[in-house]
Amino acid sequence: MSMSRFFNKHMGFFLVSPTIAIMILVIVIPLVIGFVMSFFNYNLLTLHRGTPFIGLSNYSRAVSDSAFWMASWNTIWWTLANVGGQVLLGLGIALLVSQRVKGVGVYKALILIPWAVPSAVAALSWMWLLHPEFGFVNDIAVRLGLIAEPFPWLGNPLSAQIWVVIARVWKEFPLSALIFHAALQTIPYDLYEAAEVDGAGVWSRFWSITIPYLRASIVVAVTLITIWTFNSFNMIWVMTRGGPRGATEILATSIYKTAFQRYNFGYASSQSILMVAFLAVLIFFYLHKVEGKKID
Amino acid sequence: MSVKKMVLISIMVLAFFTFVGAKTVVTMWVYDEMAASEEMELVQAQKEFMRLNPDIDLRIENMPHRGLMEKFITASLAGVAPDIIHIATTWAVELGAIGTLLPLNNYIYQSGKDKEVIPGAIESSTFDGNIYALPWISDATGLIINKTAFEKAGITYSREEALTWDEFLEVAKKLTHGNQYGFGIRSGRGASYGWYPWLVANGGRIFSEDGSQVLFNSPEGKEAFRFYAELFTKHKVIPPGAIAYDTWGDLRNSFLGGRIAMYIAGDWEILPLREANPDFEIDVIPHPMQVRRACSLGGSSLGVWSGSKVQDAAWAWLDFLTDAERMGVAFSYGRFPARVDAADSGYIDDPLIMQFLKELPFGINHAGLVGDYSRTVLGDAFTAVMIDGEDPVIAIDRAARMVQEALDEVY
Repeated sequence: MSMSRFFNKHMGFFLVSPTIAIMILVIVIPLVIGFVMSFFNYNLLTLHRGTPFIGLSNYSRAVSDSAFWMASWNTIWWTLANVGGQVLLGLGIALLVSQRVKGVGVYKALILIPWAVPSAVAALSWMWLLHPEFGFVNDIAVRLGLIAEPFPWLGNPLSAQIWVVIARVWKEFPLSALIFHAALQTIPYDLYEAAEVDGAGVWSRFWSITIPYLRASIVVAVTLITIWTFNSFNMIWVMTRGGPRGATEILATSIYKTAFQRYNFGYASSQSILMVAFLAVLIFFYLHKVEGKKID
Repeated sequence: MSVKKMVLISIMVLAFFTFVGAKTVVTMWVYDEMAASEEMELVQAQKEFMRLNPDIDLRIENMPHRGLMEKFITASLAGVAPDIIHIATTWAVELGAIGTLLPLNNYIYQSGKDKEVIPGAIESSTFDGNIYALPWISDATGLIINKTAFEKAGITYSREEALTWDEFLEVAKKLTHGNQYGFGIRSGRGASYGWYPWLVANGGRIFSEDGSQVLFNSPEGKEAFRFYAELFTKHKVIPPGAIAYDTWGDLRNSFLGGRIAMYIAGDWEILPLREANPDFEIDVIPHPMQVRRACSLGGSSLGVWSGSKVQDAAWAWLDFLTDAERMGVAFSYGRFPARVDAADSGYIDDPLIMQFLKELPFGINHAGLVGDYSRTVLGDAFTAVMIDGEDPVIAIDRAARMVQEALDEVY
């Protein structure tokens, strides 16, 4: 085989090889190192005593650690609330900006603003809005007579859980709005007209035409939002650091504390591996269920 | 002469001059934007140092304070850390124990810095006999008060005599009326920083001498914890919103907004308070005391990365920067140099700053091997008492158990 034929035959491989190399370097290798580390007593404060192999001890510790389970449940709640919030808000906004009204281009640009704001800046802005004494939210609530005096929204476990979700939904909904908006453009308008002629109402058209056409986009949006929210760290870390009393402690912040406050990288690695496995199972079942329905 | 020979000679000449002209590059991370512009004193000192040491190329990089410790640990493990790092004084023990910082004992004793630096600051940087950082800036906390609120309430105060806890409570109650509360504290992790001096003032300790045992839940500790928590839960001299005061800025805004009339903080607060409202009348009085006087000793230090290849050059800069002649650098940022002769340096003519300086001898060391984790756990204990109404004794015992477990893992 001549050189040029060889290159032509394997051109695809050569073109993607830099990407594969980078992915191996920044994803596969750290994952393997983390996996291996999870079987060792790798504590930075005791490195001088060595890093003995301890088998599954880190995993059994995680399974019996109430803090790990609390962070896991918080992560599930946080992810579900975010997926629900972002999909619903994104869909609502996408439907609105898909209307044929004047100046819709401006609205499309405006909804991108939260997405363009860096996470840390968005989190700090929300902290100011929710400031326990001088925040905008307190000011409005007091003026409207909803509360007698300013309330520490991020100091109360329940309200902190709600507000961190609201903050992140606000920050991230433009992605789903964009996905749904793009999908909405592919729906033939004739279908709506035909359905209307046949007497279908607004809801009927929405459920029978819009939703089926958006199904693939919803799968993509839910999958992406699930992965990103499950792994998200910035918003909660800046706004509450997992507090108060662990109310907003998700796996990402909990693992970070294990690694950088207790310096136990071995245990943090085992928690990370469990987190990845958990996420993989979640995504697998979701896709399996959705794909299964599609086949049916 | 052939072309090959000419090329070879050129390369040799180039290599020679490159070698002769090569400078020792020393890199440094600083936080608080201390080298953000050419006019800043740290940059001026850097230039002077390089003029006096033409063979050293000192490169200073500004880094954000938040997350700096983690960044340094990661960079150190990856072998790409800066030669020098500017750290909070309490970080030295943890970073040193991990092995990321070089013990500076030899440098410090040979240069005589041990006699020049405030002993408490050296103690905060020492673990297992090793001094892991050279204290550069020190700060002590005091009670910042709203003078106008005191005058309106007819309260007199002394700048010399510390209030006892009972006296402090009485003052706080008098200052609590309408929308104003007598006192403000930071919550979460910041709560422990604020509480430690109360613990020590009551005769308690945070950790044992060797750092291996938790002592903050001793009877003295429990009493101090209960008193501090009850300022919020029982006496209600702290505003409800304080459970979400995360930063010094939150306290400062509350103070300037008239929501709180007193809070405990260090000298770093004076400049921003004045900048925010030059007409706001403030004063500083000693930290409330019980069986002894105590305040938080903080500040920042300079550490040398254990993996640095230019440790001598790095030390030369540390030695230079912490010299008596360079005290103006720290003062230019409104901070105290961590030197025993700082008070007599002639730089301080501000009576409020002098008040903090007087507190320095009562400064306590609150560094520990799992210091960062302790702050988080104690913050949760305070939250449990303040929000859920948990009994302070149960909360602090649980916190002590958790921190002791963490210590048992490493001792």
